[in-house]
Amino acid sequence: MNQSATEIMLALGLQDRMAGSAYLDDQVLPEYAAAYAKVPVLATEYPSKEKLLDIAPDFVYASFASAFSDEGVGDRADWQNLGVGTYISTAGCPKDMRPAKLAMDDVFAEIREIAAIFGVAERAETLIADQKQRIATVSADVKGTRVLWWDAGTDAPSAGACCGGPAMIMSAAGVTNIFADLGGSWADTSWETVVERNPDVIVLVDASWDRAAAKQAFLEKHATLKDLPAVMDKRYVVLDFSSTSAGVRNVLAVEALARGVGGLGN
Amino acid sequence: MVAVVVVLAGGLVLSVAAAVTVGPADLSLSTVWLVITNHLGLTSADVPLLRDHIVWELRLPRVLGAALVGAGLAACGAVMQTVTRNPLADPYLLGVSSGASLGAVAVLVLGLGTGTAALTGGAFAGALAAFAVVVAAAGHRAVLRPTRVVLAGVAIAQLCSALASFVIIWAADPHATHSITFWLSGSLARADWAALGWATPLLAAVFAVILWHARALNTFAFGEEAAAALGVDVGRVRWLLLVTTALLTAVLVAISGAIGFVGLMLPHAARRFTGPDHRRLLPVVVLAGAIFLIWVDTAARTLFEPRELPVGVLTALLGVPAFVLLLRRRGGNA
Repeated sequence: MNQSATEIMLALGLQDRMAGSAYLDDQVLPEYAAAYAKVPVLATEYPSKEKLLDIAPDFVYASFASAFSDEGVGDRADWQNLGVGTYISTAGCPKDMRPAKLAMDDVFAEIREIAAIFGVAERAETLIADQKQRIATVSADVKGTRVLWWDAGTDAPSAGACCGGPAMIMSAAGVTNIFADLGGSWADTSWETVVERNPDVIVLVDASWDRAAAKQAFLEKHATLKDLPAVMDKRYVVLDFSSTSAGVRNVLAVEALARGVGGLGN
Repeated sequence: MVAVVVVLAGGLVLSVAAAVTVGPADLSLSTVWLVITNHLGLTSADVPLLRDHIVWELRLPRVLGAALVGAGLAACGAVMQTVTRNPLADPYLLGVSSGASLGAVAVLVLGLGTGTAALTGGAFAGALAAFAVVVAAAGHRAVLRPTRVVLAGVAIAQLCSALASFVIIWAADPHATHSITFWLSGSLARADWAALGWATPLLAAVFAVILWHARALNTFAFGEEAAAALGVDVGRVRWLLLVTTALLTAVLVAISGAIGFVGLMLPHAARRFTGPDHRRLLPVVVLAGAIFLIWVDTAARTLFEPRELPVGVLTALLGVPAFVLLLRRRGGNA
């Protein structure tokens, strides 16, 4: 369940082992579209517990803890009691079990674990080597560029903070996060602080519920923010939300961020 | 009495002056004051554009907005409590805030328009619609009976919050609910000069209406028959006051979201100092409301900077203990 978990399975070529998928935020990546077409879609959001019991899975894999809440398919312990294994992405785990600061290596570790569970360890190594290679080639001359990662919210902007997916992508791309001092993955901050810290580049996260174009329009109409140098020079990088939650797409975000920042001539 | 009002008015001016100098951005006192005197045409010093904006476009409208919303909510709460003869009444009693929430949620989730203007508009439309339904449900031959108004208000509020939950759960992405929660908790970050421009005259007008009826409000305390015997046109005054305060509340909610506590508790706190006479109570409660919200919002902006808290969370967190203290210290006489 969820985009990242589904795509990690597909990236490992495990589509034949998937009894169903659910709750994707976005289209699957084009390279996996053919494989994904064979996987039954159980629900557009989380399936009900009954629906999931009906297909009698051996193993349930999700990106977010919410998958195993009342909103999703119910408590993990209940599934374990039924003899069904469960797995939540490291990045989606409750706070005390999550790495203090998420890194690409945590994502790679997840890919390895999933591959080990399905006995395809060598595919994981190929995939990871390819991803590492791509990251290594992009992190180039963008060092020191100060970036605001604006996820959502206009009253109090929710910005990428020290320790989650956004921070991981920014650090892999080699740029500096202006809100690295805030705890958590995302944090509500204020425009006053944004103005004071005066970012070189603004990342506009594009999500179906909060479009990058709307964010840009807000910045350029705002009485104060329109005069922010990054806004005046339109130094924006647009990233899809789905590429920012821990999974195989992070590489795309790293590449897009580094290319975007590099292309702006900083 | 005049002395108290003068002291409070002075306190309000000082509060505004002090609050604009506080914020997450590290600006010196002199910079802040230069910006303000620049804009008032008193000086023409060189201040970097962004610093100018921080003071003139972000902080000052926000501080003034806090004063305005605090004053308005406190006044509306005081009137609402007297008119409905219900100590638990607050400005949101007539479904206004739940209607506004529903309107805001509809804009945020269903994408009916984008941007802050749409959000404010949606909240205002929702508030008015909810109030209209309450009046239609409770009114009987153009008479609004307090008990029926209160019951209808509670019922419509429940309906609106159920509908809002439905929309959120049905349509919203879990990630989008965060911004909704923030909005529902109340924030003054959206206060700008335009909002102040149209809300201030309205506040002044409503306040004038309320003050004009201060004597009539005093008679309400003795019950309807007594008020009528004293020559007050109970039905007309009640209708007028309910409608004007609901209108003002709708505007305030549209600007700031539903900020709790201020409208409920401040009138009670003020009454402990002024007694029940509305000619004394109203000026005091309005000034106290303005000062209270300025400082609570300043705390919301700066306490955990560079993080920002919704102000509605803090009004209750700071206000309730203060109120309990007040209840205990001056207990027995109310």
